[in-house]
Amino acid sequence: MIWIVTLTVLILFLLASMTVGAAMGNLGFVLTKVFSTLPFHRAMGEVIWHVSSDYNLFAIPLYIMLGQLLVKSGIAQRTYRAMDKWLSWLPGGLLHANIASSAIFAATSGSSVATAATMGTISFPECRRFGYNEGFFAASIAAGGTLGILIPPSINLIVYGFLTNTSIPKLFLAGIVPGVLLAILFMVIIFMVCVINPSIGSDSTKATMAERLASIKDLIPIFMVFIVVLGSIYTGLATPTESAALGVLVSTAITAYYGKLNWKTFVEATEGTVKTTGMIMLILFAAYFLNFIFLSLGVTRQITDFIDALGFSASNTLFAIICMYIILGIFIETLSMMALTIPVVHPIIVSLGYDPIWFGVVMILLVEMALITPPVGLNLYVTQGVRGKGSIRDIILWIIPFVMAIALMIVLLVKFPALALMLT
Amino acid sequence: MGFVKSLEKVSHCSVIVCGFLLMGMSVFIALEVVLRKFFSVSTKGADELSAYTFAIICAWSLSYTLIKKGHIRIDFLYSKLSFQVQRLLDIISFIALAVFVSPMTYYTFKTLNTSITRLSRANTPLQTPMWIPQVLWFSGILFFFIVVIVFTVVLLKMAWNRQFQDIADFAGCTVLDEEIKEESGIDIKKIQGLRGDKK
Repeated sequence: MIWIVTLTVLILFLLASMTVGAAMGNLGFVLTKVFSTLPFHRAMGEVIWHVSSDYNLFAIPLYIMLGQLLVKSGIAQRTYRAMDKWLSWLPGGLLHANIASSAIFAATSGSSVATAATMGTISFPECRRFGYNEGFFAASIAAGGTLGILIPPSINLIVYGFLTNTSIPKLFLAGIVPGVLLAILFMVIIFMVCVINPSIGSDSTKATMAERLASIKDLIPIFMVFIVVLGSIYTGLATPTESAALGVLVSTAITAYYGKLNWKTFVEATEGTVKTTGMIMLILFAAYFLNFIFLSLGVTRQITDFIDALGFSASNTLFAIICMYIILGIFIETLSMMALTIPVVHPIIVSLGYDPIWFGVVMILLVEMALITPPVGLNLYVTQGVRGKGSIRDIILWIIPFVMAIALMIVLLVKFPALALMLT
Repeated sequence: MGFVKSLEKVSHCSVIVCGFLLMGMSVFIALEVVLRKFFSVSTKGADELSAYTFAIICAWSLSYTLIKKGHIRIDFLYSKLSFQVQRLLDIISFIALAVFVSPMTYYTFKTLNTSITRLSRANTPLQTPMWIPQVLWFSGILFFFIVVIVFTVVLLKMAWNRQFQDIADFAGCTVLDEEIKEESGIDIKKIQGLRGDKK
């Protein structure tokens, strides 16, 4: 009964385009008023202090700041040019550079939108110069951009770790192999499409070995960030928050090295960071509060019991959960989707005997899929926005193979959980 | 509207302070890592101070995000509705936010108040009196509350005067261009403008 009310009120609030944080928080109030004689909502102050003084979450603004500074340093252009020299001889040419530089950039940035927008701005002029099929080119950028949240550092993984009390370093490590594999899958798809239909791509260009070697120096800074951020976590030298702080300092140094560090850069990077932090934190405050109410009223247990009572096998339940996320991803913005569902889905997954770290990676793949499926696939709109002309339908048509690649990756992960768990 | 402008100014100043806090804390944390690794000593306070810094940044970021229309609203149905209905939803959205933020401000004040009356100290080497970080944290939430209330009143006034376009500019869901610009610093309109010139 209580969860029917919960769902109805929630859907109503969200469809009315209420601010997601307010919708979840108000739902918490409604539930305590209707279903309890105890004033659970009075714990709100403590809950919010607990969330806002969480040491692990401090990594979020730091990683955002790191990404903002790197975008401003112009490092993405350099990476792209270097990748172009190394990969453009393949059938599909620059398209491979799109994926590879997205993957590298993703390793330093925690946001998919930022990755797609940055790579798109750099690469579209090249796309037109060499006469690539624009729809496929744009689709490769939209898909490449999603790697931003799978290849660590990833803000979405931090949020998942926080909501489920799972180790964030382990989640980060679990994301590496699937992230790299997915990038390779994307490149295989590009390869196949361009072999079958060469007019999609463009003539391959070939850089000399000397040019390639010369381009390595442009890759050094971004690999430094990569080594400092991930290396310090992997070797156990630093916690994610500490690695993020080190990353901020290194990227500040890089921005200064390229002569882009000034007051304007600092202010803009800070503005972007604070704005995104506020957006994430309001949702997390409300999600944590709502989760507290759920637990106090026993909603979470009721749902878990209900699922148990259905008597589905573990794999069928997992299949149902994955389908639910694919459908939800069509309608709801991804961070809100995670904050809303994880507190309820996580106990179910654990009670079925699945590894929460592994599920974190599956979850991120589902989020990636949501980012490139219409009608609210944000990355599609971002790349279309950067492209600036033509119809978004071209991109939606060409995104299909990439969506299938993500689906294949999910299947692989379900069949071989070791792909995610081998490094943890 | 003059009052709204000054609120925006205060919020922007707080953003700059947050930027310095972030950079300052990064240096402090890096120092801690280096000292721990190479000299096996600890500042014994980096974790705790990071947590307080974060609490302050969180609280003050809320109002800036609101001013920049950064708080997420699901526009799945919204985007398909008529202009007038959208404006109605904008107003409802702000009222709902006020309904959520008012008790949030009240109960966070209670938390601060308890720390002051009980003289609570953190259970850490620093033994920080909890009210010190909590005052800075609560002031951010209080400021958010003020912004939400003032914005809601401004919106209701606009609705009363039937200034629907103003409501759209002031409280409508964000357009994609703005979103991309905020997240990646790339101004799409400018790029498209430049390309247009070349044609």
